[in-house]
Amino acid sequence: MNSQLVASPVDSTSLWYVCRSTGFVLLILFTATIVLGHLTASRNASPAWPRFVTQSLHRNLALLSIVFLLIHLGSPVIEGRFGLRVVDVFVPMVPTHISIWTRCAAAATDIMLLIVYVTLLQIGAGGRFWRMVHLTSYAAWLLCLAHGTGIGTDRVWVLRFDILSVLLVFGSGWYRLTGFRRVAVEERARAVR
Amino acid sequence: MSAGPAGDSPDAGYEAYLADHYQPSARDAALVKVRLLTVAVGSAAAAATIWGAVILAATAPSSTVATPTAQR
Repeated sequence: MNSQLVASPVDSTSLWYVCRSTGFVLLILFTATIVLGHLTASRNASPAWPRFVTQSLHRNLALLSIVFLLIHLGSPVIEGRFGLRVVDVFVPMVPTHISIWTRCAAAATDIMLLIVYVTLLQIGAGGRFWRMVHLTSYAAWLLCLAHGTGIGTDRVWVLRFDILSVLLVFGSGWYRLTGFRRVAVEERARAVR
Repeated sequence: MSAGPAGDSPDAGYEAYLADHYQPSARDAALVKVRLLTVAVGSAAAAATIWGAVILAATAPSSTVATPTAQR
């Protein structure tokens, strides 16, 4: 083992691989959650696929993401490879040796936990505050992309996943915006009749 | 009656909204669909995590296994 490494309380590199693996899975889950959020907000539905199905899936995947996020955060802390402490993965501004990319992840984690907290406790559900908090998920997603790319491990694969994620989020975002317009046009047409 | 899911968020009257707007059989079938899809995605994510960790371990060059602390 490299002498520069911090002494590990767990004599295994398995957790390091789990950490990297969950990073990829998290990127997929976050992307899927945002895409489902866009599809929910686009107001498209059918008898076979009511809108609450998309909404429920969006919520369930967001909660599932939190489970994988905790594994992703916990594994390097437990393994101790980089001397990360619990405070380092939750507080982005803590004065320590960690890089800006890990701080990005800490900030993204805080935002996601805030969104889950506000949503589960239904603080201002559906209102302006709730919406503003929900919009910060885009910032969290961008911070996740920056974290994965900037930290450097598995950079080529991370970049591939990032490109796919950006395409899906922008594509579904476009669909959401056009969906709003489509519904508005249909409502206006109904009102005229 | 609450606004239901029109605001993209769960709300206090959500169950009542579903009861009002969907036939019980259609609602229950859709909820089963949600549960099955959630379990499927969760299982796939867990499997992908394990598979990914195995692949990363199998293909890891020594440089990525032993990243110096200073690089973090």
